[in-house]
Amino acid sequence: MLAIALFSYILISGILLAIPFEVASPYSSISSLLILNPWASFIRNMHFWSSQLFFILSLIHIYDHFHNKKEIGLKKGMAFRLSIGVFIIFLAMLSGFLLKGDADAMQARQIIKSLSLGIPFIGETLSTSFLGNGNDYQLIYVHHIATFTIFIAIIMLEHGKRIWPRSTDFVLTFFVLLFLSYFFSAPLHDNLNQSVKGPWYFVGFQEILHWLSHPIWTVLLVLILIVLIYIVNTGKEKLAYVSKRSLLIFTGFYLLLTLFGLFFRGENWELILPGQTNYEQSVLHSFKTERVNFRPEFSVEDSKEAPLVFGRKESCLVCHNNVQGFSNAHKPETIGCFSCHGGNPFATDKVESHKSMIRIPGNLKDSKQSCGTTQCHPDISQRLPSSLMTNLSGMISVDRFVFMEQDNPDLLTNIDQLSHSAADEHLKNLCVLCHLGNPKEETGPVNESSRGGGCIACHVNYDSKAEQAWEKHQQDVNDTLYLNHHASLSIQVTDVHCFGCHSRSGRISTNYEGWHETVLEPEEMPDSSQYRLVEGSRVFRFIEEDIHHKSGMECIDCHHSYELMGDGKRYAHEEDQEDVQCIDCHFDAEPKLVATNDLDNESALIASLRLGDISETEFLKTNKYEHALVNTFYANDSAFLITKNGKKRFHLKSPNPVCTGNKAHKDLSCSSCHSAWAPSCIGCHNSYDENEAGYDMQKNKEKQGSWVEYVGEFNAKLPALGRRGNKESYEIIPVVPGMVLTIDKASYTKSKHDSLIFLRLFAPSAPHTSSAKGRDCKSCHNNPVALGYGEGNLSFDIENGKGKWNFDAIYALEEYDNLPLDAWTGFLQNRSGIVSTRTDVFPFDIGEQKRILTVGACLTCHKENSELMMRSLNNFSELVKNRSQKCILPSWD
Amino acid sequence: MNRRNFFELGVFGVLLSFVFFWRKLTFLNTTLLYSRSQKLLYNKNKIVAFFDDFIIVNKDGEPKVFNAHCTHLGCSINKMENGVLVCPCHGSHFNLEGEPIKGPAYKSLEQVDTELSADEKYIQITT
Repeated sequence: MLAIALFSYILISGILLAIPFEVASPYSSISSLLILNPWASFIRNMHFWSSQLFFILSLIHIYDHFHNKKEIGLKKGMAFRLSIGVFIIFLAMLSGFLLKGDADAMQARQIIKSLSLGIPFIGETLSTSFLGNGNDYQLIYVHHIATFTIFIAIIMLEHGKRIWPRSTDFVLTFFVLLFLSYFFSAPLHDNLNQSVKGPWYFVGFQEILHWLSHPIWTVLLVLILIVLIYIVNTGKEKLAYVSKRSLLIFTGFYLLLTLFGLFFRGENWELILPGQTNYEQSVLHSFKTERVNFRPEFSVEDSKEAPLVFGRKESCLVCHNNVQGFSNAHKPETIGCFSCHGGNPFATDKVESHKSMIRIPGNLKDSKQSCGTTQCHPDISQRLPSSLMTNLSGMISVDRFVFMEQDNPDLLTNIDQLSHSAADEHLKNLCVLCHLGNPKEETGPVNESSRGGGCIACHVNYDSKAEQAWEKHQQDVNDTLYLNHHASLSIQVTDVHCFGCHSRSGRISTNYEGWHETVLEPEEMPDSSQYRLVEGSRVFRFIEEDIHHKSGMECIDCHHSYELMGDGKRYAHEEDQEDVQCIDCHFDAEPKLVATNDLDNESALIASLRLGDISETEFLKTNKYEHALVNTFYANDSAFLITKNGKKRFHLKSPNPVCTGNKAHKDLSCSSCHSAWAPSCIGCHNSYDENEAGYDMQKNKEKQGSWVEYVGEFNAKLPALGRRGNKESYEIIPVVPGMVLTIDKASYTKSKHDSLIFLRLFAPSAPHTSSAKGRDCKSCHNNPVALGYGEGNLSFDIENGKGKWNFDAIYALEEYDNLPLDAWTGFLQNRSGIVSTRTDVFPFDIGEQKRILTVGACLTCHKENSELMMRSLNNFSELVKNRSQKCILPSWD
Repeated sequence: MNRRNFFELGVFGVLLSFVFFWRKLTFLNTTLLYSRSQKLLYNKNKIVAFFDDFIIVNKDGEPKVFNAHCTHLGCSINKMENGVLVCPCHGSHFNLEGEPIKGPAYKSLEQVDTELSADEKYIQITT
């Protein structure tokens, strides 16, 4: 009786729903009615709930009959029609689901089509007859409102012998429907969430399909179920009993599968458990529902103006209309608000619309639901975890190596894998604030204090209007103002974006601008333009800016998207991930080029956004990983670079012949000569202080106790040089005293076995202080710092016709290894064991030192630009052999 | 045969004739609508481009076009994760040759005959 009442509500609500529903554009029309017409929305809910309850009651009715009667004893014709009727009810429900036209419905339609086509002989006819040929919904709609409905009505009349429901049932069901329809809205997929599921009664079936490589067997299963129902309705005692038991077992099994599919299947039908990071988005999201709001917080007139976005209306755009400031690709009329901010795009009041909203999109924890959705930047979102800026693998691995917690600084790891060891606690206290996964929790422009923020760490920009609007919004404590000017999201990445993180540790951002950090306190800072205060506490002194910075180039003018956002491969250290090298632009042989047509899509897109028409353009590409440098081009036998933000154009110069035209320096990296200075830090002591107010940078929480770094000395000077690679294949590179320090590990572990760690490890350096003129010959050959001896007096003394190099260090010898504090290696000594923060970087050995110093000895008499010294670059041995009597070479006794 | 049986047979015959009409009607309708061609925008720089019914895979400069519908149950494949085409419905994975590398699908994606326009901006597909 109740089912008859519900069926009448299905018919009434269905007829009413047909008025706003547009079969030509179902998704758009349903999203529109959700926003524009709460009464239509309510009727849709009533149609949904009446049909769901009708379906459930029909199943209960069948169970009731089967359970209470040993033999049903229906006539064959009647039993046949009833058995088919159960299937038709299922089809009516399913066609209603398809008529939403959303992502779920479209995939369900494909599944049904595929299953139908798999049926031998009549598959295509069945598929065409139910779904139609094209992608329109006309035929499905006809079947939903006519074919299936009429069939069900006839069966009900024949079976129940009634047309009209009892008035008590009619009224009772009305109130139940009223309650459900008001408080729980019928679902509509937002077409953004990657979890695709059928209706709840189909989910068990979807689970079965997942396990079958030949899904056509499920058609047989459906047939068997219909036959079983028929047998129960007509069969004799034993046969009916077996059929009933089979149906019962199947129903139990199906219920389990349904629950499993509903609660443990996420995106791509992958298994997912409660508590996993994206469980809420993948699973619980489908169950979110809201009540009907009969008093929307906007007028129908306003809502009509909102544009269609991705084929649907978004209520967000009704209130947040005419917001300015976006880059073209991110304009709300193109991608709406929901694509980035989530929330509920169909709600009609502020609270409901903003529920589960991503206030600051782009943070990596929810990048899959914002920037990284399938429609936007999924490739980048997938490869971003491979970037060292995200996983900090190199930093973590080196720190653990230095704390003697692992034997190798090259092991790949991830910031999510930090434990409670001394090294990891050290990282958490002092280092790991700077990674892309560190969420940005506050809105506002990026500045020198900014850390992390995922995509927006680099891509958000506030122009003056956006900044004004933001400030106004910050002052609006009651949150009544609409933000009228949004920050823009674009590829305009400036040095400011890099500065926050890269002004620390290696300090490449500050170096690049020419600033060197001192140990001065802010109050000690001289009142001079040569000094600068960073973050209110760090005092920097101006030394010399990088030649590229001086000419107006920014960080991204060299560094490309694959280098910064990762290329999908894991690298141990930054120099491994780094792709761009000086020789890519300053080449002296044939350029490495890539034509527009051969660019990868990302490079082509960026190039066209930056340069406009790029047809017929040839770009330079990197020598190392062969990525396009999209702000360069090659024309008329010349290479050019255009700065990405400033659009300044430069003719790229070939290196000086003194760099590449001789044998002597062929193994030197460009930066070993052209780095004007590098910051150097020595004598740092680290210990854990239980009473220090600390901070867990991984969890962004204050805590008691912290590792404390007692700084030794900061200096700015020409970097030392070292060898990367083995004796057969190597490169001379600049190095700095990366880890010349002591660590009181026991202060943290409280273990008697942990003695004080003393380390003298130098680290490869990319100083970012390039000068057009390289360092002079003596600055390497006669310089104790360059050779790794540390500061001191290195002199070539001639006595009794015999030359000898002598060295007097400035720093006293350390008790741990008898070397001066700032040295990397002893004067004319070899060093063995752990010597650097890499496995392939070494100080010069005795033989190398002797060769360098031999040239140094020559330079004590001969000018470095003299014709003789120039000749020596190619045939030094020959010149030495034929030297005059006056020339005294060093003696190594 | 009595009169009742005769009319029962008649009803069965009428129903059968409708089945016949149904089959003919749908067959012709399908033939008419399915014989059509489509023009897809071709981006040489893009390794994988997704369309409603097709996927263009451009490896080594030679575009291949696959039917975007998963060979398991026909769901539209619309995303690539870590260099693999992923079906959103039941999680089948295909490599860029269209070959299944994770089930439930076990058949390769159907490769479609195509013609590249002279200016290499479009791919013509006839189905």
